[in-house]
Amino acid sequence: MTAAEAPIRIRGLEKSFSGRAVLKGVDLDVHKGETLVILGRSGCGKSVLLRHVLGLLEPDAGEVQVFGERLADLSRVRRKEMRLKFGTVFQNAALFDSLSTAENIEFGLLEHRMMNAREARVRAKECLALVGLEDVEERLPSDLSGGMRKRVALARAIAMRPEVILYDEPTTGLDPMTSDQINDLMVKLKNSLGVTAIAVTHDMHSALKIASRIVLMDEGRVRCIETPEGARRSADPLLRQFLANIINP
Amino acid sequence: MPGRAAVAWVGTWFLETVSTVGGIFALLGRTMAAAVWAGSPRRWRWTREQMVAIGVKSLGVTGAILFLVGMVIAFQTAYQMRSIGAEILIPGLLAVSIVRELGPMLTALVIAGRAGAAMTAELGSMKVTEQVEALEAMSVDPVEHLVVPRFWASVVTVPLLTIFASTIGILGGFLVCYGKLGISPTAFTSQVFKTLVVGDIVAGLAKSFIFGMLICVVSCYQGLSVSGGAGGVGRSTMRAVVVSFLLIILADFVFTVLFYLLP
Repeated sequence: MTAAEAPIRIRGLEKSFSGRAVLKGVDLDVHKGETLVILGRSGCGKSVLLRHVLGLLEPDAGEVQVFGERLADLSRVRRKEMRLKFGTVFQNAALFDSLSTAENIEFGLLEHRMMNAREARVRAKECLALVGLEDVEERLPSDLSGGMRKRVALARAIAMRPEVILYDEPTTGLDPMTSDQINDLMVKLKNSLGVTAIAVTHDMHSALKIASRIVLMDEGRVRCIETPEGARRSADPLLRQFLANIINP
Repeated sequence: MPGRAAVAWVGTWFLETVSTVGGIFALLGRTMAAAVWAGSPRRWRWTREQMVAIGVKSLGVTGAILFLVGMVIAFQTAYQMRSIGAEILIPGLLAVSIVRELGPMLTALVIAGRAGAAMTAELGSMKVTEQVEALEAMSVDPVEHLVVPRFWASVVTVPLLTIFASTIGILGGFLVCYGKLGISPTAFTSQVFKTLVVGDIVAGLAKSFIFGMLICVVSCYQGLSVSGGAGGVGRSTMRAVVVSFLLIILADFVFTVLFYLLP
């Protein structure tokens, strides 16, 4: 499979913290245009895997290839350039709390001199409209609800027109209805922008709704990879447990 | 085995101290390089905001402290000088001790406790809420965006605050000299300018520049090193204040020795 077909390739990835192995040899390809959901219990290494893709963590062994280049071989400057191809939605939205909603979205555009202030404001409004928010430009993150903050984080992630979006627990901490709105939004963004996405979650309902493929991680390894349909029919006991939680929450 | 535990404790403490000092100096190096060569294109905006937070908002407290200290010094020296009939020397003593020593050091300690602690708490909160990681994910260097504006703001505002606070301190001393000792404004001013030399002012400002640097780098280092949620922010803030106080007093001692040894 070429870099164009699989923009992210992970081979034999291992990572330990204070002697505790979190990733124990992960192999994974992320196909262009798909939404790959990484599912697993808390502490199984999902978020750590995501941070390796962004180059925020260095692996103990193995490698991550992004758009055909090994992250470990990239210089600091080149790695920064590479990160501009990614948009990230963090678990708690991670909005800059001293900046207004619009300033949060404009931030990357202005810092990287991609646009002037007026153009960046127009882009911020477009992105906010895309996630269904209006008239919140001047509000501070502290004045927004949890669901609205997640939407603003989504708007910020797409503002720089990334090729890949990374979602870290996008529905954690939200009520079921707001979670569904965020799920619908992720599907809408995938369809309208055609971006590749990796979503880390332990929410099976969300996984079935947004995923092209579901990767089940357990004990720092990939346990199985399924399509949503395959996951529904799977006999894997851990996957059945996740499914049971949807049926009997 | 208590002996073994004690050795382990000392060893851990030593390694942590070396790691902290190394980390502070590494951050100082990165910050100085970024302050000159890189930084956010909107760095002036962030620097201006920090100047207000560190400088303008500290005017009241530094002025009040130095005003009281100036009065205390005047009273204390008056108590000694009166016995030898040398009250007229008080303005000079007051001015030199404030401009050279107490002004820079007390201003720095106040800023470390007020603005330095706020810096650590702010950056620490940003760290635990993934805002620092979000910066990195957006290819924005946290040192260039968060530390450099605070660095410029500190090295500019701490000397300016020192000038302000020292002036207020001398004014406090003047009120005591004029009101209680009967030293006229003319005599007071004349004694101050006769005793105070340019070297005293330069020494005081040089110290405050270094203190500003130390406060910023120590506070930012502790903020960016936070781990463990709200409790971690509290611990790092406390550590930032303690380390800043220690380094300010250590740097003051080194400066005093250097100035004493220099011709």
